[in-house]
Amino acid sequence: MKLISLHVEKFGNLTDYSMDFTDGLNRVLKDNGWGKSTLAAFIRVMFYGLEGKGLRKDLTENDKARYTPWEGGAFGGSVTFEAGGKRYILSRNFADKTKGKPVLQDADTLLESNDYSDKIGEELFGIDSESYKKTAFIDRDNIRYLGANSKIASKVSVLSQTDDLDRFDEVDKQLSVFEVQNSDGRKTGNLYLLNEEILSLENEIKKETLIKEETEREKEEKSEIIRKEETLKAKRKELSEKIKKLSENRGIAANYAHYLELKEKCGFRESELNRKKTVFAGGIPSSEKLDELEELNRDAEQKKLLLKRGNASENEDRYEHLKRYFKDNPPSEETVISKLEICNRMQKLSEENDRLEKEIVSLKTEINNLEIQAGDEKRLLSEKERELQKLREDCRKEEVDFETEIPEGNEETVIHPAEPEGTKMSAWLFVSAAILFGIGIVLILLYFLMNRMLGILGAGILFLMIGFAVFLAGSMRRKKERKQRLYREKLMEEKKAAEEKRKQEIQDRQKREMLERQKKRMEAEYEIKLLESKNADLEEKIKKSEVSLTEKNNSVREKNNAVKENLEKSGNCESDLKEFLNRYEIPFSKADVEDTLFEMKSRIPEYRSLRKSKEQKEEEYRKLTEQSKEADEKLNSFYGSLGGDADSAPDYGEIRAFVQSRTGALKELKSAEKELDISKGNLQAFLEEHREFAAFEKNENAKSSDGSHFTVMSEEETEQEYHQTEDLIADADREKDSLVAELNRINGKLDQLAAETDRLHILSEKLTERKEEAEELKQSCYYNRLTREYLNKAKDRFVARYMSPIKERFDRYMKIMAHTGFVREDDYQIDAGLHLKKKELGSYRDIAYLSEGYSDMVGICIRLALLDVMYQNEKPLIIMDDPFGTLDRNHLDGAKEFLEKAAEEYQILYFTCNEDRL
Amino acid sequence: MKLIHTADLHLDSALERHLSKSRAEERRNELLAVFRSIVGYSVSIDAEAILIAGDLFDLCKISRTALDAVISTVVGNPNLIFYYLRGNHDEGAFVEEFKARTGSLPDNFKTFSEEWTSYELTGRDGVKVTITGAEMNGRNNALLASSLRLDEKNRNIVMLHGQVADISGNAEGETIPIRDYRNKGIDYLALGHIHTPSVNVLDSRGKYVYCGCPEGRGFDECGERGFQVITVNPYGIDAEFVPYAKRVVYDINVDITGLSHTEEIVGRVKESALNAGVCEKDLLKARLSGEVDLPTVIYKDQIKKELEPYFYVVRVVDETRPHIDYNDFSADASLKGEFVRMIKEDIDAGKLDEETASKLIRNGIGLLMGIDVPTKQQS
Repeated sequence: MKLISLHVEKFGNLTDYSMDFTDGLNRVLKDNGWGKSTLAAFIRVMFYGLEGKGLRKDLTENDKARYTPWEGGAFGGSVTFEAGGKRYILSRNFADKTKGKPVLQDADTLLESNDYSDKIGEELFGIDSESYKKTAFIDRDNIRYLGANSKIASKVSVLSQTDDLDRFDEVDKQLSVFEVQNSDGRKTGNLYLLNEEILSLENEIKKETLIKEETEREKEEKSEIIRKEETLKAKRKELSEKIKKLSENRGIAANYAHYLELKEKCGFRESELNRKKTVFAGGIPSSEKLDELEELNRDAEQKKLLLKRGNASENEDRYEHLKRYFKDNPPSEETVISKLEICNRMQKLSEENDRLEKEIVSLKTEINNLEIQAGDEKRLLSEKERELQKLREDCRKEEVDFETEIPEGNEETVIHPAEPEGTKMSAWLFVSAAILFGIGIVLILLYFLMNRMLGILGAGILFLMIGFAVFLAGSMRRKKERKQRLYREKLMEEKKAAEEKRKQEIQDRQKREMLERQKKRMEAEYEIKLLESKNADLEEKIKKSEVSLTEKNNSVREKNNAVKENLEKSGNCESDLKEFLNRYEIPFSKADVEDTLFEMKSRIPEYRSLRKSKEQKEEEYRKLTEQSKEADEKLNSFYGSLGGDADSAPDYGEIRAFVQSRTGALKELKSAEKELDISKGNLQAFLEEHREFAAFEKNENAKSSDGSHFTVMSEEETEQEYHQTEDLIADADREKDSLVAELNRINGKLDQLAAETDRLHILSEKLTERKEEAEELKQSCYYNRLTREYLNKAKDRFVARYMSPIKERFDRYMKIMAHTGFVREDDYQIDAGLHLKKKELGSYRDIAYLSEGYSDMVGICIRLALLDVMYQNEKPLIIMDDPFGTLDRNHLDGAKEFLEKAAEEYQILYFTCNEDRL
Repeated sequence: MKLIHTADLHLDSALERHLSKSRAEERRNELLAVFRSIVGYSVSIDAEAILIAGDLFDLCKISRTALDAVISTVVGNPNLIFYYLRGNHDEGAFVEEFKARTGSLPDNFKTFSEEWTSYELTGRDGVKVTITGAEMNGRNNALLASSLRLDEKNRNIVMLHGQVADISGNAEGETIPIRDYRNKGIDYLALGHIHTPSVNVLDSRGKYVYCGCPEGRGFDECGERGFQVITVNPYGIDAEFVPYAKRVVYDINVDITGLSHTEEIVGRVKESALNAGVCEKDLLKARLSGEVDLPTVIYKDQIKKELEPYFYVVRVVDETRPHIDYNDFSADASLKGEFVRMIKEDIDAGKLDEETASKLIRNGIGLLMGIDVPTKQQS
């Protein structure tokens, strides 16, 4: 890129200033205050726009504030430059509404060009304004090299692939922040906090062993207490039993008398029992045996009675009756059934005949009715036909009448309008008036003509007046006549209207009569049709009735034949039944024959049954005789076995008495036994309740022969021991309460320990979780750190790869600059951040530590070196605003040589106020 | 005669490690329901008894709900005998609480102690079996095996809760020195403590069986869960695993090679889950694997959120590797290229392993490209 010319419209203190440029070194020698820096800034601003707009109040940072013309007006200018083989004019005006928006024109055509955007500086130079000031724009205020930025570094490296390098700072920061946030070294780091938490949890969980041990101890203690409690319980039980026994002993004396009483009672009851046993000399029979004896006695007695009753059966009379009825030869049931069927058939025939006769009667009645009906219908038909005939005649008459003409209207009613009289009279008056008037006029004329005839005048005047009066009368008359005429005309019109109305009425009436007649005729026609239809129906009906009559007559004949047939059949049945009943001398009655046969049928099984029963009875009697004999023998034998007199035939009454007496005695015996059992039971219960007496009992039994009794314990001894035992029980109860309290305490403690165990269990799970989290985070931090490490290394290497050309160029420029005598070809190092360091005392130190003049020169060299590498092809414009101001005269030659050398490759704008530095 | 062998229900478990509070409560209730359901199943197959080989409860302090549920279930099934062995978790006072509630332990509830306790059980079919058990407490491990005496003429089931180790002699904690239990006449060693079901040969006569937990509680308990149905006959004891879990925990590997968009990845996960038989009632851990292009970022949280409507609980783990062709970077003159080449050099020099390298490259390249890479590493 090459600057061709510029024009300053107004910029700072420069107004309307133009300048042309050549290739190579362009020296601008101006006094202080002329505006060299302003001009340099103008060039920068033209390409990059105003910097530090807005809030920056420092003029050095706020181009607008610094360079806005005080007098106002235009603020800007233009530059003409060449880039990419083309020439352009770039204009800006910061004062107008464009607000400094660059306007680019093709310098040759002056047409607007879109080859560059508003960011023309970045596009032309490939770097932003900041980077431009660090490189190609060497301002006196910023000669010192403070390192490059990433934009420069990007430009220095690969021109086309700067995105990731641009992002490096941000990425590095992101990774750094992550490292800090999750550090395990910083107290606020997440990993540190996690580790702390883990430590805390581990410390808590360590308690688990102690808790477990304590739980075990408490459980053991609990078991021990439970054992003690069991022992105490057993002891308590023992003491309770002892005290119970002692209580018993206390009452032994009182119970002893009772014991004796019970014993005595038992003895008495036993002797009573023995006494009752003596009643039974031959042995005590059981109640069952006595019952059996009674049963046998009853049975034998009963049998005897039955025998005495004989073998007469209950239905003997009935049997004899039936025997006579059937003549000792009853028919079979099947025979009787067949006769019943015959009877049934006979009845059915009779019923059939009854039914047929009823039907015949009914039919005859119907036939009669039909005949009557038919007669009525025929009469009705005749009437209707006459009626129809009449109607037809009436209709014919009506038609004749109907054609009669309508009468005309009355001629008297026609009014002819009369000629009005008034008109003739009034006409004569007017004529008269005219004549008189005319005479009057003539007379007047004559007066005047003749000049003296006053009488003529008077006559004339009189005639005039009469004429006038006649005229008036005529007018009046005419008026009246007109009125009359009008009235008569009106009257005539009214009369005409009335006449017409009357005519209309007559016509209407005639029309109505005509319509009525038509209607009557239609009605009559309809009635005729209706009648004709009805008559047709009637005829049809009559025909049907006749057919029905014929049918019914035929039916009557058929039924009569059937009746005859049935009567014959019925007679045969009757004969059969009569013959059957005769065999048993039973009279025949048609009405009762069925009942007779049913009765016979029912008697047959009865007869058979009774005959069978009789036979059975005889057999039974024979058996009963044998049984009675056996029963007597058995009874006698049994009676004898129980101690009765069995030598003779059994006396049932005697045996009965024997049973009763023995039964009573047995009851008494059982009662005595029961009483004895009760007494024994009471004694036993007493002995169970008072076990000590059981011992007495044994001893009593054992020693009953010598009469000595068991010795009872003394009351004093009993009381003493009793109280002692009470004390022991109280002690045991107290001990038990204390054990229960201790047990409750332990249970409470165990609950606490269980809760603690559970809490630790949950913490243990949490610990596992946290450890996993920590491990995960640790891994993340590790990878994060490693990533950052490698990224930095890569960046260093990446940047370093492109440092060598810069170093080479820098060395070259340093060599040139060394000729100044001011700088030396010392050992310098450019790091990946494009920082320049000088080896001093074995270490590389930042050039900021060098003297001002020295570091400025070095700075220029490094800038040029950077520019060399940044711009391989089209070199940018370098602006130097008195960079050698700090050099003394001795070193200026070298500086000049340096400039000339640089100008071989660059277009340099060199501003200075000192000719020596030119 | 049929028996049920179950263990490790861990009722009252907190479960909040992988589940939200509401889900955790729901699962706790489901665990209780599973217990009741197993009892119901036992009744339906006319089983004679249920062997609970430890860790019925997760905590010492048992909640009232769990207590009521277990007690009512035991009391409500008087024809089913419950053999309750405590484990390392349920050292609490369940038995005491039971006694306090009902006055005394019902006849169908049998307990064990630190010493061997045996119960004879005669089935309705006349088959007899002896059930022996002891609760290990870390102090009695060494003596237990040597003090076990069984009648070899009987069918013998032994119950223990602990970790089997193929050792003999002194053992600590919950370790079961399995060699010491051989040739003691054991037909079936009913074990609890390991939550994955397994059947192993004990000796020529018997086997030792972990029934596993009936419901997986976390992603470390994947696969089918249930209990063992034991059939005792005069000649031996057989066991059959019955899968019974209401919700199965799945850990599936999903290869997302070539995919880059979240929607695509979600679709692949759903497809893989479907193929693996995962249902909407199940818990799913999807391990994303395969090679993805370098700039691709796996948004685990977004993927998880998209999958949540389809499964009960979802966890997503990123185990993908970036697809790196080092040749692509050999001529790359940018900082990225330099970065990758540097890492490659260290791989070649053995200073870096491939896995670390791939992670560094993914991070570094993503950051340089301005992609919001979650710098927290996947695990």
